[in-house]
Amino acid sequence: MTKSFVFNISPMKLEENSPISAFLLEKAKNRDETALTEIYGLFFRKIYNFIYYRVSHKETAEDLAEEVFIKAFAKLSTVKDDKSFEGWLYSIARNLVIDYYRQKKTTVALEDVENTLEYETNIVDVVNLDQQQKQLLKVLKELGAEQQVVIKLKFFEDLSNSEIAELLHKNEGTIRVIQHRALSKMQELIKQQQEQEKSDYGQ
Amino acid sequence: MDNSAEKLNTALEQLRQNPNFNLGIGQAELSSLLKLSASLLVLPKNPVPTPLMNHRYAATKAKSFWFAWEHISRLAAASTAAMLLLSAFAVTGYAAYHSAPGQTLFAVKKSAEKLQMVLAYNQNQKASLQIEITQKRLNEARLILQNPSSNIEQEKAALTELTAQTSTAIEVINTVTANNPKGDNNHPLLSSMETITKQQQTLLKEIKPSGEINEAAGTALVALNKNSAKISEIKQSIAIASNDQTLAKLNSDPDSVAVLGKISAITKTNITVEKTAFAINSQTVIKNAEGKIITPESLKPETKVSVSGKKDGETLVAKDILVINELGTEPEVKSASTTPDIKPFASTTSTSAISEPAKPTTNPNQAQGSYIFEDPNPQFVK
Repeated sequence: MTKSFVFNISPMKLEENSPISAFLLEKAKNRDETALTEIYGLFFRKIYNFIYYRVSHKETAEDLAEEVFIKAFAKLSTVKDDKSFEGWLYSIARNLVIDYYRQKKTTVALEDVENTLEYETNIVDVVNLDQQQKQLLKVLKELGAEQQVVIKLKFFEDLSNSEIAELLHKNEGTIRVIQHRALSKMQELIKQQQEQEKSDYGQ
Repeated sequence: MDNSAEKLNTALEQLRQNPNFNLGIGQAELSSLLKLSASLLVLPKNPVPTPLMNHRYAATKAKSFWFAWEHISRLAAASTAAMLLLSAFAVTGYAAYHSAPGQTLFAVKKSAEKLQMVLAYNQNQKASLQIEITQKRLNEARLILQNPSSNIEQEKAALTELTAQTSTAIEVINTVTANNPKGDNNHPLLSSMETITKQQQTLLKEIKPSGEINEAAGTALVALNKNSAKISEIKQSIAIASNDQTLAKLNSDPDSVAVLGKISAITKTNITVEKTAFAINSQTVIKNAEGKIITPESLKPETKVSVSGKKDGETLVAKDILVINELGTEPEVKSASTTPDIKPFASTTSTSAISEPAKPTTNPNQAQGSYIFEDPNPQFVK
């Protein structure tokens, strides 16, 4: 039987709040098999996608995603509350990707790894973009590094503010401000480009 | 700046959660940033290959499958009948443990769960077990519904089992909370059930309507709404009994109404299903049996639909209308795009474009900014 599914823009997005309850987390901390399986089912695909975008290799991404859950389940007792859980999972994934690049290129500098993680994400299918979408990506590159990272994580990878905050070691309020400034800056750059084009056309 | 950032963030979350969110709401600056955000959200992404879920973490767990049955063996020592049952599980245990609704050994699994219920020390433990079992049913249903090779009987069985188990769990929680309204465990139990029902709602929304699964999905949706209302009722009861008004306010939504039945009357602005009348407004999402967005004009009397709505003062407003069985040849709106009024950023300065309706395209999956797509990579593989 052919099956297909209707998804919103964020396929695995359940709520802005953590999709796991404090009760489920408590059960998982007590090594409850059902709770662990539930958490694995809820987050595996998101974590896998996050890693895949950074390593671009299916099997490696699968292995690293599995490793994330092995590490996470071994250290569940250190999770403070259910709200920080998802961001904490992403932090483990991020660290494992850093380790992966360290092992792959033993001489690579940590800064390069961070850059690879944050700026070289090949998520958007540039081949299939129309002119306006290409312009959108162009102005995105003109933003500051921090603003670019927040926009990419939020809009291309569908991470929530709390997840981005956890990854970038900032608080959620700061992320909201960066997001607002980044979008305003993009808007301004687009207007400038449009005015420039009009002016060029006039000449 | 902070205030603007907060407002933008709130609107963005609504946009991410609700594809029909009106981008024109609020100040021009906010509206323009939201349109830019909408353009960013619909940028085509590179496909990600379907991962294999190994559950490798399971191998590292100290607790093995057999230890999971320790509570059974405890009583089995005192009960010959239970011992015999346990022996039977020892033979078929592993297979039964991994069975799913629609499979032969699923009955064995359910028997084991019933035994677990019998062995529970007290009502609280029974309620916790019920939640645990409901989570299992939800996991099973998710795996079955998201597996392209599942057959329709399995899918129906999964939905039926999930619905029945959820209702049972809520009844048990109702008993527990009624017996002890001030119990420490009441809030965690209700919170867990709410999380599970939200996840069920997400799962049901992900099912693309098709002739065979519609009936079961519609029934499950109606049951889900009843269950959510029941949870709200329980919260209210606890709040009254324990004089804790904050608990009553937590996510309670007693105004939600869901009806499954035939359309008895339909106009552009109103729909009556069986004897329940709903108003239709611009926020109402109407989908045909293929999951495409249709207009109220396409609905005909006697068509079987599932409607969920919410009370707004004296009026009942329809939120989602899903056609279960269509009558005859129903005119289809080819422009079925659930896209909100997303304009490319080039037109962001034009406020007149904000309220324009979504324009028809011949293929909704190719419509720019469409939020509906055929998932090329089903998430779960067996």
